[in-house]
Amino acid sequence: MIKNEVEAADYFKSEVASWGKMTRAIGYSSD
Amino acid sequence: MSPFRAQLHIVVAVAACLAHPAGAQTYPTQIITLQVAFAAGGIADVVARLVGQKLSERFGQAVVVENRGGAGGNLAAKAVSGAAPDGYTILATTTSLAVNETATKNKGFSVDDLRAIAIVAFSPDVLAVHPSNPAKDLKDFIDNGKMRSFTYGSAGVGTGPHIGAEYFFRETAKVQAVHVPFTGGAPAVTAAIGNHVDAIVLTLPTVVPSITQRLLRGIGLASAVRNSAVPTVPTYGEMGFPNVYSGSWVGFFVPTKTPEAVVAKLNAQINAICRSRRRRRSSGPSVST
Repeated sequence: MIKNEVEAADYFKSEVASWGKMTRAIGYSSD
Repeated sequence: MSPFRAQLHIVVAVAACLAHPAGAQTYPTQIITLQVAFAAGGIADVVARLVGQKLSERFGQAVVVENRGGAGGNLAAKAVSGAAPDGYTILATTTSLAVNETATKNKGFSVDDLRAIAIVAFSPDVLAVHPSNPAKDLKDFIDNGKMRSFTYGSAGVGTGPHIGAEYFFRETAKVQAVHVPFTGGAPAVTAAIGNHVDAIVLTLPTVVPSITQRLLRGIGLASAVRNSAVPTVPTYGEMGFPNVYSGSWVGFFVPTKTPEAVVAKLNAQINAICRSRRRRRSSGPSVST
């Protein structure tokens, strides 16, 4: 999991997209 | 343009070029605050304290760790997103930051306000059942689930394993699974060992001891490859469910406008600390850095 700063930023963006897709699909909200 | 104005432009341009590199070269010159988004004792806290201590040694500057738990990690994330973008306020958090971006609308900040400087300590989720469960493997478990609904426990509503598992059961496997949220990983493991739920889905380190002691049977790892801590547990892909990846990480973040050179310096130092620990460590690969 060693990533340079550009890879870390890209990985985080992909994680936001991936979790967003799953969260929306199951209709989960903490609001 | 007059010669005077031309000279002035050159002076201004040179000064602008020198401003950031000089700052990055001397960074850090004051105390760094590492804000942990969760309470003391959790994985984010453990990793942050370890990294904080080593950063302090490497930089020759104090690194103060503050636990600022609350609102599922949003409290600290909001505070750091609004801090001065100078590298002296750093957020240590988990996958929750990525989950909350969609799950929590009114949190007062966006992930666009933060920049990842290092992502470390990744651990995949694992699906485990009681040894007496009639399913011989994950495929069998899902086939059985198509005939009757089943229960699965997690460490709580909104945790990564809960969302990942719910998505897998509902969207990928197309089975009826009833979520049983616990107040943490340990009580979920206890319930599974007592056969009070049909399965649990948790981050791997929480379940490794129970699997190695054969109190539970791991039947699916949400990872591209197997993990050497539980080498007999197959990945979801091996069981006919490709591209099912779900796990937790610990990451370090700074306000978005933090100078590039400071971000690069922090990234290099944190990665060096992780490499150093990996070389020294001879066991415990369930959390990879």
